Amino acid sequence: MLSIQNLHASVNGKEILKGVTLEVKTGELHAIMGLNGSGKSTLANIIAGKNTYEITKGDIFYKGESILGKAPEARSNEGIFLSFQYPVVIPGVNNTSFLQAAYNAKQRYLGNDEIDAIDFLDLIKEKIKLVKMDDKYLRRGVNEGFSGGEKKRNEILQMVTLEPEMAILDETDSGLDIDALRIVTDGVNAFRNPSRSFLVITHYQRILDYLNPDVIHVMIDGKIVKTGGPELAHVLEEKGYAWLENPSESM
Amino acid sequence: MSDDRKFNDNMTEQDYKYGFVTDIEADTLPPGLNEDVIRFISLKKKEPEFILNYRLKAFKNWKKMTEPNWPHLSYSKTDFQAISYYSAPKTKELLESLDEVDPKLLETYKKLGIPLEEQKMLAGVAVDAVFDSVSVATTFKEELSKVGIIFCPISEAIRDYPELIKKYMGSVVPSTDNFYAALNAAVFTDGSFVYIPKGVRSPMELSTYFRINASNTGQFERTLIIADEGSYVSYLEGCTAPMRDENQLHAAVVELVALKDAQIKYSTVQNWYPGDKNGKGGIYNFVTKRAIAQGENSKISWTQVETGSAVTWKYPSVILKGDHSVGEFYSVALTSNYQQADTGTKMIHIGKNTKSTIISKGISARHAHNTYRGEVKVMKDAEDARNFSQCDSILIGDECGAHTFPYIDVRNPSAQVEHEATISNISEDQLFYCNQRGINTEEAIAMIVNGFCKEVFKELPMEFAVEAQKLMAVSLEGSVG
Amino acid sequence: MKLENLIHEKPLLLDAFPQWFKDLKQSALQQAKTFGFPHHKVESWRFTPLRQLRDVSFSRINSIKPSTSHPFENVDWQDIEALWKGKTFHQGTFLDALNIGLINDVHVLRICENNTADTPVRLHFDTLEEVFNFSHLVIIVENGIEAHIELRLGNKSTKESHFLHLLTHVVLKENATLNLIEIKQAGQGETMLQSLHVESAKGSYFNHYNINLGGGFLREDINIQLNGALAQVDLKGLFTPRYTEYVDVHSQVNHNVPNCESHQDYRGILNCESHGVFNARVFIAKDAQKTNASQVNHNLLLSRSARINTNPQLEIYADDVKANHGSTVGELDDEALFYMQSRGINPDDAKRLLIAGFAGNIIETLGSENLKNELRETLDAWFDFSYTKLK
Repeated sequence: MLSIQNLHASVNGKEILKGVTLEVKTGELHAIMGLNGSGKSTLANIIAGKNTYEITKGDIFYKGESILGKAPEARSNEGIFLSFQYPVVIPGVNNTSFLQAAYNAKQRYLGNDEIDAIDFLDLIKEKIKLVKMDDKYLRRGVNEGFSGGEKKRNEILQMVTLEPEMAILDETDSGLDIDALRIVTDGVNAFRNPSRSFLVITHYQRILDYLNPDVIHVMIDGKIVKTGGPELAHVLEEKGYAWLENPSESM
Repeated sequence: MSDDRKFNDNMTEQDYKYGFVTDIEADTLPPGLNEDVIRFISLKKKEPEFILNYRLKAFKNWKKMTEPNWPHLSYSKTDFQAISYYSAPKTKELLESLDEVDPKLLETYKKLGIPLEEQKMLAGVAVDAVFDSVSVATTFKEELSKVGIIFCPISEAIRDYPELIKKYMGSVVPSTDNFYAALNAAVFTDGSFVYIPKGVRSPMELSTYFRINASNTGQFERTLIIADEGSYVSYLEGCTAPMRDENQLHAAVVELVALKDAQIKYSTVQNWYPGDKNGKGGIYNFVTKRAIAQGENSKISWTQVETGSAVTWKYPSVILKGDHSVGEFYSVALTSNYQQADTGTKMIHIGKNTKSTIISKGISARHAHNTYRGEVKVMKDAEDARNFSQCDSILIGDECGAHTFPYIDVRNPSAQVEHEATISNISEDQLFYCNQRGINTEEAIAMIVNGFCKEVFKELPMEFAVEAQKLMAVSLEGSVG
Repeated sequence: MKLENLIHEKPLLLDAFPQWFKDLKQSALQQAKTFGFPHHKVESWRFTPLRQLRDVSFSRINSIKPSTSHPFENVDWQDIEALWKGKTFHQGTFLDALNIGLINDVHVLRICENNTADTPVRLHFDTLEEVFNFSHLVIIVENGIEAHIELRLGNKSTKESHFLHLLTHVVLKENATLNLIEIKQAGQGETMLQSLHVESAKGSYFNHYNINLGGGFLREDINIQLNGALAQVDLKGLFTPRYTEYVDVHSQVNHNVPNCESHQDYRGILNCESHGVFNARVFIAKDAQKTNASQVNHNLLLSRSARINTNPQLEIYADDVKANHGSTVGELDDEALFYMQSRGINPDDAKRLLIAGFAGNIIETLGSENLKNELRETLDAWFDFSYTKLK
């Protein structure tokens, strides 16, 4: 599904990613763990097409095709979804209308009929149950006046509505209390199926307890220094990142 | 971001959608302005003596006045002797029905998306269509006259209702008010007149579509709306003009009078030709709009969506004379390419317990300059006056300007006046977020700008709100269709 | 001799002056003639009761030197020439041009060592009565130095007519900090105008307090040029006019380069038939991205005959900036008064507390405890006199 090969990227001449290689197969859920500043969010943003980074080397393949030259909206329409670490507030733009615009953009891209406001409202009322969100949030501006937890739920609502095949969750667990985390991960789990892949970026093993990852990667200083099964999360939780501090030894 | 910038540039370069000219033979005066021209206009319109005298007096004053230079605008000054002051489509007599209207004219309206017949049936809007200064079609007149509402061209009102004209015309905007108002008073050609009798609520929204057509013809519309005690009216004004190289001057005057317990809601969507992307051509829009909330508990509400014109100079104002009267100003001004707008409002609190609200949203893109200029004045005896003003601006690109010049003058200690303003841009984070959800940059900008303007759009009547949102998107987009 | 007629005076051309300065003085007077006396059609004089200014009439002109706790430098004319080279502000307005034309000295204060809020450089202008006093001050704060200056204008116990026009040119070198606390406290007959021109270099900080506690006609024209990245400006002010006093603040803050910050916070408390004007403009140049600018002006009107004009203005040519402004005008909060009364506080004390709190937003941010105490006491006395007794 997603294949990243020796990806190097910098911002303002400073190298952030120093050769990331990663392969996510269809139906798999991968996790990337690592400390702040290790380059995890950069990687997520680059996959989604943010243009503030300069790709100096390497490539990203999605469904076998390089996506580096594609606009963010094209990647989105083809099925890549990023749940933002810091969801953006867009004042005055109605949350439902926004999501409908996104949904219809995808339908147009796929050559399907667009959905009208009334049918979309029915659709969204179904989807919102998955994230147990109060429907008053549908009437507000996009993320306007939302708490941290509500913003993250809203991201998951967008995900289950847009039905991507490759979902990247960037620290979706940060700022969530245990109940909210439960709701969000339930939403993700209900959404999992053999044709969808996930890349979950996190500091903590906590979210992974709910998500049963297939593969775990550890990222330090712009590189993946270790890859393993679900047990790796627990080792990290116990020993901290320090035991991986010197990447060459641990490899 | 550089890529996005380019993209933005493209999308603001869209060509004017309504750029076409109808070649109807116009009955046009040669350019120039003197007493004879004014006498000609007056004669042509079969006006009574008092109107001719009113015009001549205004002309005398105008000659002594100079064009204001305080607005934040730069443009080549108009040569007022190079303008033709009268132009009317050739009509035999006043037409009774749409069938009698020149089919070419109807075709023009169709292109503009103003199907009169459809509107009759669907929207229930009575349309007094002004084509080059003379009204040629009026609908719904009958239905309105059943409840006693007068809705007609002002030239007709001058003949048929001289008492109302004598009493109110020039009472809110005196002919000495400013340079353009004086010019208008001297040479006004036509416009709308509305009178809502005591206690009547207008059964429909009244609407006039203005259209400037003949080359090099200044437009001098004059509108007067009187809402008698306890009445209510919602009036819609919308306009669009064909593409033209020379600058065209538009100096309208609109006067609103609300008596005791009356309410006037005046909404405008202004989409005149803004000039091309190099700043060539476009309308000069120097309008004087003022209302008096004369009676107790009266209310005036101005809502405007200004996306057109090369230069806009416009300050719809309210004189809050009656106790407990209310004044509102909701404005969206979008400028792109080389457009310039200097617009805002004046709220003059005279009566007790008067209340005013100002919400202004300015959008500047490319090389445009957008200025909010407003004044809130609380006079000595205006006990417990309240004002709240919020003026926000968005800048799209780094070649444009946004300016906020409020003036607050308070002379009564019981007043509460609050003014706030912010200036921001559309952040890259917002655009990327929309892009990631599959929405392209063009659509995202239109969406964000519409969100920014929401507080104003919700004040518009439903049909207008939809039109306004489309207009914003069209004004910002490059690749329509 | 009226103020407007001073343009006909011969400029004093001392032998000690270099030729360029003599030329400047002559061209300045010529410029003043060209400008003519300010009138209401000029935006910056729209709200000013010009008659009051026009009516000032004395027979003598005096070039005044303030008393100071820090010695002025001997004027090095070459140095001054370098400092003023290419600058036009000396001839930017009628009064500034008049100032240059009529002064016979420039007082240069150069700060090369740090001092503290409690040991500021103290300057005091105690003007001669019945004389046109003009003065020209140059304040230079050297690289990385933090300076505190307390500038006092006027004599509150005087009953005579006074006139002072002070042109102050502040030069902040890189990373310099100047805390300039300016207190105007004068009698009813005093007319005092200061024209303050500030040039801020990279990383500098200008922290200005403009405290107006009394005087028949007070006006401050502030002009800030932010010329170096990361320069910061705070303009804080308080004005408490009463009787028929007039107090006026006109500020112009120019963000000429990116990454600078400017904040303005002015509070007005107006009583009797007084009139206040706050007219502030922030200009953000095309390339001044990442600017952060704010303007706030809150006013309390305590009398039916007082008047305030507040015009916070933004002129912006850069898109990636943060800029906002706000103004309010109101009277004392009835609910707060009632709440305090319900807790047993008598209405006068409640009002006093509310006014102190309102002004406290400015006063309490001062660095010096002594000064805070002095201003609190002054305000208390102001309240006793102008509020309790006059109302």
